[in-house]
Amino acid sequence: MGNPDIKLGFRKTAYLYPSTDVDGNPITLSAIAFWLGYFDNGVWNDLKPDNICLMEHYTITSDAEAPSNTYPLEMFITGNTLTIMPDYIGYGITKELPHPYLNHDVCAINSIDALTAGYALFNDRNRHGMSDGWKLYLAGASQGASNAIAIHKYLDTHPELATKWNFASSNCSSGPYNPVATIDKYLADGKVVYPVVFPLVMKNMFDSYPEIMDGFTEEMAYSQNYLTVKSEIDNMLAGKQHNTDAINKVFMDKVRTTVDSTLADNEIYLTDILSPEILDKESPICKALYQCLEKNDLTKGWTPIHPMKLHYSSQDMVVPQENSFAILEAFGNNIVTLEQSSIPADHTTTCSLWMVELFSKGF
Amino acid sequence: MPSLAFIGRLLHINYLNYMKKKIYMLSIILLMVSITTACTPENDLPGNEQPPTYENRGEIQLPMSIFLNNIPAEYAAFKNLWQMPSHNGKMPLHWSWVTPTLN
Repeated sequence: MGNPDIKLGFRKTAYLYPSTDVDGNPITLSAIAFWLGYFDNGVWNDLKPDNICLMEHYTITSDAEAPSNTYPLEMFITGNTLTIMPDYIGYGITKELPHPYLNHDVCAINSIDALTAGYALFNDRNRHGMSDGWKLYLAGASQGASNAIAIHKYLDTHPELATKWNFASSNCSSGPYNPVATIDKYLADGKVVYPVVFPLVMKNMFDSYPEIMDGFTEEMAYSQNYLTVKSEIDNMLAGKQHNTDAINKVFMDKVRTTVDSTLADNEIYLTDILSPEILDKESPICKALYQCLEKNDLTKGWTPIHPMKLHYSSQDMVVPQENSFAILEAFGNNIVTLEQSSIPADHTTTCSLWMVELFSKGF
Repeated sequence: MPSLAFIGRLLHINYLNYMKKKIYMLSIILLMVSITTACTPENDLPGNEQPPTYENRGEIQLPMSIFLNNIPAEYAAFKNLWQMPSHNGKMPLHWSWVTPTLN
């Protein structure tokens, strides 16, 4: 099978780069860049990447899962590309900071800065350079998907950048492109399977939009049940030592008190987590929260130029399919191609299937 | 002994020469600045308009086989997909949509 002396491999570099934090101040962030090469009788040779992929990672809560600290799954699906994967603020070199979950604007700017620095690094390290006619593709699953579309928005609203980077298209799976639609679906269902999303969202909205959330406290958003474990979960999120499964388990073990025959083992009622006030869409705190969420709605306020392919599943209870439908409704099928998962599956499986699709078919 | 008028003239000439040299040097500096400015590319960097600086924090080259050997048995089909020979028979691994050729 082939030449046994030649072994395909990765050249992966972690690097720091200058960017901007949530308050607009300078910050140093971390990222990785990797490309393919091969060992010929033990000597490394770079390959010339065909394209650039800016890959946004999915939701993590432990720093060990940050791209610069591990070998993320996404490394194995982008083929012969120069792939750039930024650590989001709050991970990697900035693990001491809170992570601005769903703050798409900041993430987009950070990612473009990571791309700029990663490309400079690549040019310094790979003497072959890029193949002629290379393009830039954006990709990501789950939170990574909405971040990829946020970058798409940034590039299409800065055409000179889109041209400079030979921007081609986005290919994403199961992203919360419309946080309002996501929360609406949660409220309509009255239960969730991924409760860690609530402290992540609340923390970011209070941190990022103090002018809107002024007069409210995080405690006002939660049930008495949740308040008994709030400090435990806050510490888990701040410590960046626990993954989302571990945090969701705390919800199931300690916050879930209402159980009936209609509730699956991995589900929890919103009434066990949230206060009656925030569950009332007419309440001031709920209206304020929605106002924050709307600031991160990627279906409004811009007109895409480049195409986007969105993978989704009807059975995804973490990021409901309504998110993908909202993008299609906003931008039309000339820009948006929806691709339903080959198997109606839960969120994690849907994202995994997308990875297999990207791996086997390309962008 | 030179007269005061002569010294005055001499100083005046020296002053003019001094000024001429200053003006000449200033012109040269201005010319260099304009050439430098004209030759400097526009700051068309993306995003935050930050210069493309970076700090390398560590690099590693790893054979793919390290990862493939750790793929659980239930994903054998996935592993096999990675191990198909390429079109030119030289690379032990490839993707159906990527057939990297050796440099």
